[in-house]
Amino acid sequence: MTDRLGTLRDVVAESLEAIGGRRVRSALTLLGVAFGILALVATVGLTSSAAAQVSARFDALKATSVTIDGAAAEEEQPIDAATGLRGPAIDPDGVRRTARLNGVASAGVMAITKDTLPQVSRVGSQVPSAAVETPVLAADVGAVAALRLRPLAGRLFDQVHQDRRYRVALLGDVAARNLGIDPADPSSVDGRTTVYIAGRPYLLLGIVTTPDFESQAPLAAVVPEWVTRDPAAALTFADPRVIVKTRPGAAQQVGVEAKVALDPARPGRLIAQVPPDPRQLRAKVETDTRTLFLVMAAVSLLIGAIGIGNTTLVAVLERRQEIGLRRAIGASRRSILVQFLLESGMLGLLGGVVGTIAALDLTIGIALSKDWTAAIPPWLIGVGPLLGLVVGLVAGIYPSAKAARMEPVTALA
Amino acid sequence: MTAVLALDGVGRVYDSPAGPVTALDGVSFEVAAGDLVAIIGPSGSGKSTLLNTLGLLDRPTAGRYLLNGEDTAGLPEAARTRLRAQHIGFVFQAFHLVGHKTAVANVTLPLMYNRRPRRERREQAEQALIRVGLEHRLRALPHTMSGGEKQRVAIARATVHEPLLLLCDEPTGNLDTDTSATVMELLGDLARGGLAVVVVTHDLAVAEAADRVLRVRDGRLTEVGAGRAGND
Repeated sequence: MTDRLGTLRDVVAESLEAIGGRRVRSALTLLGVAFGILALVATVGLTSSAAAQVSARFDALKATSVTIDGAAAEEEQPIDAATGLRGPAIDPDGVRRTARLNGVASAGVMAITKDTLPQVSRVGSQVPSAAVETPVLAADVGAVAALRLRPLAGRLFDQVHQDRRYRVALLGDVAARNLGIDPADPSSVDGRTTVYIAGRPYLLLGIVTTPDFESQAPLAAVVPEWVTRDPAAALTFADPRVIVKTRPGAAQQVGVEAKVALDPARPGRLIAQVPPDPRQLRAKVETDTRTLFLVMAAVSLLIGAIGIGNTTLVAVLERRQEIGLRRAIGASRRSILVQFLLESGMLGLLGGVVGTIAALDLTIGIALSKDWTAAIPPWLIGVGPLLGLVVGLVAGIYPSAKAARMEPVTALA
Repeated sequence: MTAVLALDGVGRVYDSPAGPVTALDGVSFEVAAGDLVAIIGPSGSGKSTLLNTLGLLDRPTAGRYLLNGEDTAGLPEAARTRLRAQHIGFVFQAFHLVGHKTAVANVTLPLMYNRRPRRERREQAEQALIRVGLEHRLRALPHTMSGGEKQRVAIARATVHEPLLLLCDEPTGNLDTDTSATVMELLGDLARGGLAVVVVTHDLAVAEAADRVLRVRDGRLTEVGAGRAGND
């Protein structure tokens, strides 16, 4: 074994010596591969950096919102005699299980009025407003958090309002403005303002907004979830759904797991609406921009390979006598083969290293000039030199085999 | 003295488009340790084929070739390569030094192919160069050397691994008369040290320095007689 290693060390040393002995030619030869690797690594590095920009700008809110439809029971729940409310259409245990899933920040049930919009007006210390058609959104505490509702004035409702069935409401900032309330004015929520929704009074708790620009909440009046189950509320809600806010990157996984958590027996009947996978989005951006460059890189790499192959072939012909001599004084065909393969392989490897370093500099330089964060996949740093080595080895196969086939007598003549 | 090499009825026939060509025909002779044998003959007489056969670079088509008592006829290529590495040293007219290697590095080559430990190689190579009088040129590259120096490096390389047989193909062909004499003196010293030396040459002055002179003509061998035999 040590004998083998020693021999390998000898052959490596011989190859390096031969490369070092022809510095200019070796440098020119490895440039060919270096350019190919440069193009390749820079292409991947730059497209990754560009894609990272895309996903950095990608709406982080969307990427962490999951909605699960179809969780509501199909048949109408019976009315509970004690409370006068229908039973919950979505199993509360399922919602609790969902909220406990890894990667879930908050989860809850919400529903929104369908068909005709209810009339909403307000009465308070100020002049009563005219009635305005306003959608009504019912949400439990988890859903309020998942919807990212944030009070501009007053406060959000909490579990107590839900459990004790307080008739309270929040107004989205747009809805509040429609009713003549200035959302920026803290005194607009003074604890005495009543909002009439479909003819029933609700105490206005707060004015809310959400950073989610696609949300309907700013346009709506928001009431606790129990209202959906109150026949006296005279509101018709669409099927309730489960809304989940996830931690970044967890949306896809949560989408799968939440269905099982909500209905372990029949997860298949539920539909999880997950945001597009940012990785897929990135991959799409990458493939679009990359293909052309990769083709160019492959072409320059091929040219580099031909360069190495050609140089090695010339070296083999030029060093015919050296090969003959080595064979005469005891070099086996295999050691000649390995020596020349290693020479071309090492030229490729060196070209790969030079190309990778240049490509990293280029990528970082361009990223800096564009104010990007350079996002270079770590594997790329290893792949460049490795690919150079492979290119060099493949290019060296023919010349090395030719060298190994030489007969010492004819090579020395 | 034991025969380092023994040829018995060796023949070599080449195929050519014009039909078979006989390069060697019934060649028999022995060389013992300490012999300095010259082989002379006109161009195309079969000298080179004979030398290549002795060096295990060519295979005879008839007869037997014993090297150090071992019949080489049936040996596979790998075994012949190993025998060459261990027992034979080559000196060529064109020197054939590896251009990008220093004198010492050139001389270490046979030791490498004999798988001697790395730390011994340099030491032994330097000793071999000192023996041929090149202690001041150890780190010189071939293109900075004179013809005589190159040939002395080549001789050091051919003997560093202590072979049994030294084969020299026109070793003085590229050298002037004085340098030729020095090289022949060196070869004579090596033979006196116990090495079997075979020199193929055109140069009659070189042949005169040999113990025995063999003449090849049309592939057949005739012994002409002693060169320096009486001088010993």
